Amino acid sequence: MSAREDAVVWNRWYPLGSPTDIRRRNATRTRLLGHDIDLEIHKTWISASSDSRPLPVTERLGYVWTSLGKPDGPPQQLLEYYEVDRLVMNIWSTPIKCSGLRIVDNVIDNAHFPFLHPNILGDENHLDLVPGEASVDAAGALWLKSQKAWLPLTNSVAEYTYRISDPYSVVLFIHRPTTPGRYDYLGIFAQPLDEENFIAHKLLAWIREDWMDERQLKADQQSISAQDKYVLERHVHKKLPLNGAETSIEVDSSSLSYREWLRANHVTYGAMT
Amino acid sequence: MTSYVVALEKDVRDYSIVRSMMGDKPLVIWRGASGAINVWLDRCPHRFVRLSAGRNMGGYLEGVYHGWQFEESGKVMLVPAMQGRPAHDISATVYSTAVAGGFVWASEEECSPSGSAGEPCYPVHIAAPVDQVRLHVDSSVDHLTPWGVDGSMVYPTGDPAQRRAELSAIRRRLEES
Amino acid sequence: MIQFHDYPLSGNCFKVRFLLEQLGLEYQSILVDFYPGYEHKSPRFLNINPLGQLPAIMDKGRAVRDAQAILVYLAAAYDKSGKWFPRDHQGEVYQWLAFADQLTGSISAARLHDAMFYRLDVSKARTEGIKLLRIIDEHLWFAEKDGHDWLLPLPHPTIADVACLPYIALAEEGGIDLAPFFSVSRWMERFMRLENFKPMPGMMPLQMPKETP
Repeated sequence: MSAREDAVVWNRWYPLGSPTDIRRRNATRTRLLGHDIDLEIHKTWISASSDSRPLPVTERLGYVWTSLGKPDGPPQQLLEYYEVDRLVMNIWSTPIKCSGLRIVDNVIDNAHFPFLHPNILGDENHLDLVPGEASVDAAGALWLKSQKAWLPLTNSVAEYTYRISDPYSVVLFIHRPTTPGRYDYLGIFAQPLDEENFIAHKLLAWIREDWMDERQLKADQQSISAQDKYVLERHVHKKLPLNGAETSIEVDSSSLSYREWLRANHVTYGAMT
Repeated sequence: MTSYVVALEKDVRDYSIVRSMMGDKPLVIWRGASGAINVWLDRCPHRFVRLSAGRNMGGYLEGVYHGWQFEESGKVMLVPAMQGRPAHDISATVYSTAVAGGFVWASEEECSPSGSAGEPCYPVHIAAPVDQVRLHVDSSVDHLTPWGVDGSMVYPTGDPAQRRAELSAIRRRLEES
Repeated sequence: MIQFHDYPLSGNCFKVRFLLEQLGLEYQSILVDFYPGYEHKSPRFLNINPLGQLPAIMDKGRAVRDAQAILVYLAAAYDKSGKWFPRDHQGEVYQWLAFADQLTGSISAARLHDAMFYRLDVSKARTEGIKLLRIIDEHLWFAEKDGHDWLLPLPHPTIADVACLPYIALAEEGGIDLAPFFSVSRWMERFMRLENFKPMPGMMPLQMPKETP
């Protein structure tokens, strides 16, 4: 299908990568929503066009963003990214062979932690899961609040909140019992190349602590994403089913809320409807 | 409905998983603790991830994404996230199978294997459609199964070294044209 | 102590890490930010390996580069059993180490194209990779027929198997489907059942059930 037919998906901002990475790779060609995008890497800025049509470009959260449509307002914001006491990293950009909707679905699902990330994000002896409370805010973003799962790394129950501002993005708020009201953030922003391929741009913004080693954290986060890729690239259908063909169970409530929210927004691009 | 060879019987081992195809249907083949060989559609009913990406634990096949446990009948016997609470009536898609002549056969309806003319030997994949390959092989000696839309898997019988040489030559001719 | 310049998503680093663990050697892992840092091209790393490739090790003041060479070095220097690099099968081992280099140039190249933005002829890389997979699949089928589980006609794996495993296991990340290669799949399962095998991301993350529990 043509992405233009999906108004919500068409009229959004999408990241193309960090300016550093774009420059290092000399990435003058990419794709977005099935269209070829040409990037011009100038001395002080990067511009984008599609079929010679200039596209709006802006920078935020360490990424260059563009849109093929007419978004209402700038890209989503995360002001905490800019806080001085944080370790902030644009971890990487990684291409994955399935619909970008599937990565949002994967991030909000905690039931896979003991299986895909054993002894890191979950373990088989602690299968208690508390699904998040779903709500939609005034701006139309889907929130899944206070989802809980056992975290082997801290030997305690971790609490997670998710903000889905666009169909193809999710920001994870990791609750910090030592600093209530302040969170550690992971952002996963998908750049849909087409309906069955995307690039995941991942960022981290954590309150700096002495034990943190940048290289190790970056390697760990990349490893976690690569573990998810093992499953993401093995779905029999690359597009996310919104047609009720899957069989869900009670603990899948977050993933069902996401599907319901996509349907309510008439999202069809990257989905099986 | 046709029955197809999908594996060599001796290649389906305990605690192991075999991937195969029957036309456009991806298959997961596994031998359970009972000794029986199970041939299912390679797709978990939960989030449609390949069951072949998981583990054969003998008494059950375990999905890799959420650890769902499927007993040999195909039914889900345990969902870890539900912690012992009974699973609903969820099942994998099970195909009927038969073992004959050293081959594992499967069908979407009733499985009726055709005769085999000898010892199964090295299966050869050819990137050409079954209709083309059929013109070059002797179906009384070689079983032919469509592999996706454009491919074929030839399951020959006879002397392995000789059949391998013959089929490699056929493959070269068909793939280079 | 051996210093091992490592990156968790490198199949070549997996080979060295695997053998270090099998030999029970003490080592210090030095993480290199391969991507997006391109640290393997930094002056500091080029001093250790002028080719700017991972892995590299430093042992007793000397640097050794190239995954296959490091496997030979470690086995020759530290493997008292002589099993990993059997002296009376050297030619055959080298034949498979060279094959592993071809796998790096094809299957791994396709993976780097698909997963890390490398610009290369990916169609050619995949075609070459499939050709190599057919060769190793046929070899393994006939080896099994003769009662052997590994690349060499020996009752245990060698560095030939170690060198060939990781990029084959990661082939799908480069758009190559392993399903038609039945014998390769069985060999991969056997490898993953080895004592102290630890999967790298992209391989099945849970412990493979053993054939005889």
